[in-house]
Amino acid sequence: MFQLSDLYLLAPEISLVLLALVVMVIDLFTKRRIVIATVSLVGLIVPVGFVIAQAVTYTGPRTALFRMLVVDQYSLFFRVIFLIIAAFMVLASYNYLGKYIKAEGEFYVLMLFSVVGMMLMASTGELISIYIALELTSFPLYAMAGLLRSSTKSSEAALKYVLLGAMSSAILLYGFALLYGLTGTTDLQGIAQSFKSFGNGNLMVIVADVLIIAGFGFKISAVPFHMWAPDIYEGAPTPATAFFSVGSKAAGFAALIRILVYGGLWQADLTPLIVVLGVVAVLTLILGNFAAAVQTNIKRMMAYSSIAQAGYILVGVVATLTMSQKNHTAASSGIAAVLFFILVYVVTNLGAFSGIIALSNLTGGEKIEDFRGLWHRSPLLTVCTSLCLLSLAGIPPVAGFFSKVFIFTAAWQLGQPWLVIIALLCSIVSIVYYGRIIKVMFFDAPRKEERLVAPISLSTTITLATAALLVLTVIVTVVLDAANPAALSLFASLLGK
Amino acid sequence: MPLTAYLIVSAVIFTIGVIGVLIRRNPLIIFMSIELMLNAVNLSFVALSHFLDSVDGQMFVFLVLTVAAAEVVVGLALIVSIFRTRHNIDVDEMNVLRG
Amino acid sequence: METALPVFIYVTLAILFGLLVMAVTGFLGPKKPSPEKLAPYECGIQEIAAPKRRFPVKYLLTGMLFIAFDIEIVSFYPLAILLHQLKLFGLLELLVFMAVLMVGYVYVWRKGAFTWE
Repeated sequence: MFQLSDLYLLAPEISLVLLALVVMVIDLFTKRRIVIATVSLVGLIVPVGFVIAQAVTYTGPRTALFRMLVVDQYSLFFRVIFLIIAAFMVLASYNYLGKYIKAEGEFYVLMLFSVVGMMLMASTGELISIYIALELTSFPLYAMAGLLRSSTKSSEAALKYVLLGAMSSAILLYGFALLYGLTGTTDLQGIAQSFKSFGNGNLMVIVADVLIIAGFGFKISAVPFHMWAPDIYEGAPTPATAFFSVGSKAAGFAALIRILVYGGLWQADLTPLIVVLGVVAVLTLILGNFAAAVQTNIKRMMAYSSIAQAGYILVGVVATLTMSQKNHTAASSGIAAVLFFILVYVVTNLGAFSGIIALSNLTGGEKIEDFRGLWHRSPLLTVCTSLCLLSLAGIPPVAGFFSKVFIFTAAWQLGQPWLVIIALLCSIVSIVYYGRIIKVMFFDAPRKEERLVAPISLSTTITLATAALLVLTVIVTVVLDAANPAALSLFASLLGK
Repeated sequence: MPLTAYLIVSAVIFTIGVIGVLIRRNPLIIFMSIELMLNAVNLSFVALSHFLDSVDGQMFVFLVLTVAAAEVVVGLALIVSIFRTRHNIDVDEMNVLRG
Repeated sequence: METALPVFIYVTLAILFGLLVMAVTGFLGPKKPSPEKLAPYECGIQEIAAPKRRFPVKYLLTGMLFIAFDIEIVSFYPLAILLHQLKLFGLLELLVFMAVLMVGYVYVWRKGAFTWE
């Protein structure tokens, strides 16, 4: 039954909804961007405080609101990630909004609502609420893609996004319907219990899983469902693109892993599914990396690069599923690597995108050649952006290197050596295209000589992101200590009983 | 009637919806096809909920209905905003962006 | 049952007569179609404006807002069934739901979406 302590467990989301509503009302009365942005940023302290309080007083997984809400280390980990995204987005979009978008208040409100949905996606243990959370995440994203109202590109991108997004959630729902039909419940713990009795070769289980993975495939832009990403990334306002590339992806993986692992689907024999997912991972890696290498527009390149990054994460997911039946504890190392990878990816990509927002704002172009010789014109921005790109490529001193190493070793140990080899080869390709931008920025002759001065909000964002990246590099073991129990907590729905 | 009958009808409607999304070019008709897919899912949920004797499935249908309405509203708003600048909403004509 | 029989015969005859008259006029009547007669709202005079006119965009906006607020009422239906079991919690939840919806309503109103011109 409902207890007051349930509200405390839901407090981060509740306070974030209230914050969004407050920002919405403020937007009615003032047109001053600084007020709206400050309120959003300061207001974020409340949900952050609640999450920290929950993490500090954590004693074990708890469920609330009729088992719809699950507060375990996994959901706390993702709540932190999404709140980081929200804070970065407020800062990174501030300057861009003033320049290109008339609807500043709307942007923040939509972003905050979407973050609420993302947090819920990671922390619900029930199919209906996962669906609602997914749509709460997606609708603001659709609108954000179309906020650049004068640009045809932007509204086209938004319409494509709505159509494909709506279709993908319909496919996902069909998977949910089959899962509900198989197990008779929408509660993931109940589903996990009834999957104990499913033997080998139940075709419907595989069909349901494939539909669910196809549905989430759109959100995480895995390969057969990736075609929306480059178009929408290019057409949408750049801060919105940054938000799609990290938020939608992290939330999609959070919910997918929650269903596959916490929902105990691995207890049935999933060999065909593992083959399918493995093929998807390989295709995602190959297409993402090779297509990124031939792009001339930097936003399209980042779109393909984010597809490629989804491929690495999928390798970790496949590895976990391969081993889950035999050994939970070992299998959880795959999820831990995925969690670490997602955290690093979020910070790095936000940094790289704030760099791109700043540089393309200043130079007025989005082509890679517009970035020529920026080292001479804006050294700080160039260095920070380059560090983020190096991390995305997985070059040793930066955190991105460790996140790739963890995923690859986990996948190797869990029995997917071929995937690791393919992923390694693809990362070599990725060094080429990330390196090309760095080369253009540092070694090519600049178009003009005059210095570029980035607005304070953007230079703060990118410095913060780079600093966070370097800190992550130093405290790798600390983060892993948080990621390991978070991964293991997903198996708790079964081990506890 | 057996449960299978409902599920087959639902699968057929769902497939018609998918085909509609893939081959039709008008966004409004694509929206209708998506609506068809969602209602096929709803039919499965209601049938399963009746045969499993649990109300969860019916709750799912209510929420799918409300969310689908919101989805259509977002879509229509975007169509209106495109129409204002273009006076044409054919998906094939949208070629400023090409994958 | 016997009293209903005359009524039944009467209705059948009436329908048959109607069909017969329509068929006979179809056979016997002169057919001289002209553009005016074939127009959708034919009444003898030439139309002054094209009948196919677009709805104003404003109408679409109102329609969309109507759909959004209208369908939310569905959420009350399960609550209405369970209200006796949920007691105060259910009522509070209803109020919270309404409050959030009202913020949205006020927002739309203040943004001027309800003013026609």
